[in-house]
Amino acid sequence: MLIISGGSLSAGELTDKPVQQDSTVSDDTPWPEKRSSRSAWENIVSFPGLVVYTPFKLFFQGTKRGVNAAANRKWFDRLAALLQFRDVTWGALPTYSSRAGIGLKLYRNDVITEGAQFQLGFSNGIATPKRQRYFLRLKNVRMGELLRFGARARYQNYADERFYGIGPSSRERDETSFAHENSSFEASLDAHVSKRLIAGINFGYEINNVLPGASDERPTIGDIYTLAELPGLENQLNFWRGIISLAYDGRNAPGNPFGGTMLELNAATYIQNSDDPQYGFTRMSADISQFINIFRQRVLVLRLSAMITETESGKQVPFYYLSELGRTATIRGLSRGRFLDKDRLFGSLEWRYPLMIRQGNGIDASLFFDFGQVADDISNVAIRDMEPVFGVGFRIYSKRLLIANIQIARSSELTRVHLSIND
Amino acid sequence: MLSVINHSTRLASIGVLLCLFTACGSKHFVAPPPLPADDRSISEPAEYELHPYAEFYEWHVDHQMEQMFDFSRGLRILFGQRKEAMNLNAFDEVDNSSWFNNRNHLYPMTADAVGRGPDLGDGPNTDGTWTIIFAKNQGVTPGFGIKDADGDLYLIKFDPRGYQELASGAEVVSTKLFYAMGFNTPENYITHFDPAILQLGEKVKFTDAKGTKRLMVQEDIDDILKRVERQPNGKIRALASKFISGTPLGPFRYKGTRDDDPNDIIPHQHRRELRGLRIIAAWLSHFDTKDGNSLDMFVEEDGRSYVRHYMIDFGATLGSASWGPKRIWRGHENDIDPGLMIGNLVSGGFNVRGWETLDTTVVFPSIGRYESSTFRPHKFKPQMPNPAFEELTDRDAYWATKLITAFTDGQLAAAVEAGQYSDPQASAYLLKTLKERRDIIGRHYFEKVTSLDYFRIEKTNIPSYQLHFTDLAIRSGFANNRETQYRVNIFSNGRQIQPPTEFGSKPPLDIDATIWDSVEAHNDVQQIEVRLQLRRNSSAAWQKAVKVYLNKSDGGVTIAGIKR
Repeated sequence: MLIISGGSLSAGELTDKPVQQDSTVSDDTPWPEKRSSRSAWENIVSFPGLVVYTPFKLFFQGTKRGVNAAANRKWFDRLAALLQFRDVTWGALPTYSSRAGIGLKLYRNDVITEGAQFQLGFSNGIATPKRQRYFLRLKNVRMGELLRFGARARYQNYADERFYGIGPSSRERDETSFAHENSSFEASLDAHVSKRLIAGINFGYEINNVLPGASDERPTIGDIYTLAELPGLENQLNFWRGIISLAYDGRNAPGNPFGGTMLELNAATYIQNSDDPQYGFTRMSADISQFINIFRQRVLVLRLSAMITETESGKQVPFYYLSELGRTATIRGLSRGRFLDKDRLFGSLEWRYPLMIRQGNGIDASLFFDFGQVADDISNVAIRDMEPVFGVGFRIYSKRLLIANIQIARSSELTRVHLSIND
Repeated sequence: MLSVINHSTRLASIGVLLCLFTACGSKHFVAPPPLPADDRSISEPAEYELHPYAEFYEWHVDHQMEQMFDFSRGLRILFGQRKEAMNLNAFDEVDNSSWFNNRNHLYPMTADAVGRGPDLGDGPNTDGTWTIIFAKNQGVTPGFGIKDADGDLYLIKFDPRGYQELASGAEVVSTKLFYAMGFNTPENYITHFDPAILQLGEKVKFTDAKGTKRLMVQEDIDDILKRVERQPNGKIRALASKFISGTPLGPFRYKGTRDDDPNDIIPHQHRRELRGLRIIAAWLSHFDTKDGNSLDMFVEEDGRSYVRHYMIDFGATLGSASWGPKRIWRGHENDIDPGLMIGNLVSGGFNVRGWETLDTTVVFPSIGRYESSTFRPHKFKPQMPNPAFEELTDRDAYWATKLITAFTDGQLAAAVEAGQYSDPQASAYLLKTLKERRDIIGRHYFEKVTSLDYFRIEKTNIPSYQLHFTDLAIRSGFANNRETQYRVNIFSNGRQIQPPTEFGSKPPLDIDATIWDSVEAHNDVQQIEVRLQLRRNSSAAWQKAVKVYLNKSDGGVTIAGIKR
């Protein structure tokens, strides 16, 4: 009679010696062979994969050794310290933007006063080596509790800028090329009225040259247009510049805002430094962004921006100072400088959502819809003339700043990839 | 017609493959030979060292790529036939070894024994001076290596500021539980010492915050102590981890074997205790299960010198991340989790992960963030991909669940008490959460895998025997005793020799003893296969059978082994 019954385990009752390895082996017993993680048939099935993967494996193994050696020598720690991820007094940041190209920004913190930063930056275009930018900058120098002083000297030479004509009806096929050389010197004083409200003034001097474009594929601007047709084409135009600004930053996290409002109001005047000034204008702009946390840091970003340019009677605006649609900061998916005119209106609707969040740092994705247009007068901007753009984007951010941003945007004319790193 | 042939061919191919997987045709159960003892004397292996960055790179990049090209593994996953662990005995258990010693789940310990854990003494002597022999100023928490007045060596680690008891409490509680389950752990003590007993040893090397190596000076001690909270009596609470005797050989890896250790013959990713560790790590929220938190020691014992494998550094368990409270997403995602990121991308942001809904407030600073409301043991992810965890099968998880559910409430209370939490509410919360997570694991895996276990044969009147077993789900209170039904099928050499018998929760159930009459003997041993199934209510499907193999010889009836 075999009886099956419920019962409970008592210690050691599983078997006589249920959990002991074979201890009968002596020192003379040959060592057992190491077990393979694969059986014979598994080796056969995996063989093609092994053949394909072996070169990669060798590469990865070599890389691992390299990483190990570098890490043991603290190269990564030093690099991380250089790259601003550590609280150090000086460092270097690699930069990239589609306009300025690849570059490096060297900085030193806490110069003159605590919190101030000195920057030295240079960048050079990859595809167009003549595209270059250099700058020296001092920012955030404390002058009492309220005021912050800044100054900047910059030289930039963009050898392959594009010009399509002026106005919303400019055509893509009329593309021309020019080089824009610009040197500027400026000083600024910001009053931190409150934690979120900053009022500022900025005085500067700008020297501009328009030169033949570096492109072999497009006609240079001087071959198509005359000075009479295109104000600003001549060498060398120098301007005094003054700006007053008011900024309200109600965002809850500068690197990755998911709530709050950002508002910027600017009024600028450009006065030509000449005995017989032909150029001169004032410009006002307003830019508002609203970050709405729909749920769990899924953010709807609404942005609206307007720019109005007024000229004094008999004076003109150099074409390269006209309001532009086509830069990353405006609407995406258009060639740089695609639309130029005195006034501009654009907006954007963006849905941002996290792919990975790590203590305030992270990666997110976005779907966006941009729209906008230029006009000689902002009241003439019609919704039906707005250029629509759709796209997706990915951002890598830290708590404090946006580290990298890649955006792929599609307009009626082209698909454009914008990439910026630490820029 | 052609499509029919193709379909048939495909089915046949699948059948052949499944046959290869399952070794079909084998009817007679033969117990696997025991693994050779792994404590034979060997010459001292070399120290292994891999920087955490290189380890990060290896498991996140190289290992993931290698798995993509491992077609046999892919096939196994496709057909649901993952490779089982290689160090199992006939009872689906793990033999004692230099890695693991069966303790509480097979040989129940008293609550006091659980609370004492691996401790052989009372911790460092705080009456005499402590001589600092090295200092640790880098890493997530500062610390010292000291020699106490008795000449014992300890690593002293501190709690983060503002979170007294957090890391030290977690380290001690987890040490007790890991040890009781069967892992090798160091002796970790809570100690309270007067900083005046610290004295700087001779020529102590020190690496300062800027990475410069130099000799340590008194100011460095003061600097470290500035970052440590004092108790009202001026003393400092710290974690004292006693140096393990032997020669350290660096961490063990969760994949492959150590080339220079001939005792180490089972690829580590196929060791059940390391695979099952995934479920244990999930229970204790031990997210930092990297190689670096393990240690191989070359030990000498009874005239033999061999490698023993330790789990160390439990400061980042329970609600602690060593440097502060655990981040809320820990345990839910790897550091870099491409699969999850792709899923999030495709979802357009509408996939809200469970941890995102949690309140991040730390209610008990001494406990940190440790909760059970979003806990899903099968979805636990450590900080870094772990090759052994990735090989986990349901049987491995079931085994780990046995270890975890073997802890009684009283044993858990003893482990928590060892953490010496000053706030009774905090320790009550920790105990409650440990129990809740234990029960979530038990409910999940005891439903997934038929939870009949601990079989034993008891002789009554010749020729009668009783087969005893335990329904672990009922024992743990996860299933209802009255509604559970069992079904028994008995086979011999693949042939059913008795009609199915169903019975309720109140055995015994008589089976005709003449059953052996129809069983052929192989080498003078008769064998029957008892297939046991259960269902939790009369309308539910029967769960997969547990097969218990009984051998009858002149010596009587014994259990040859079990299969799940």
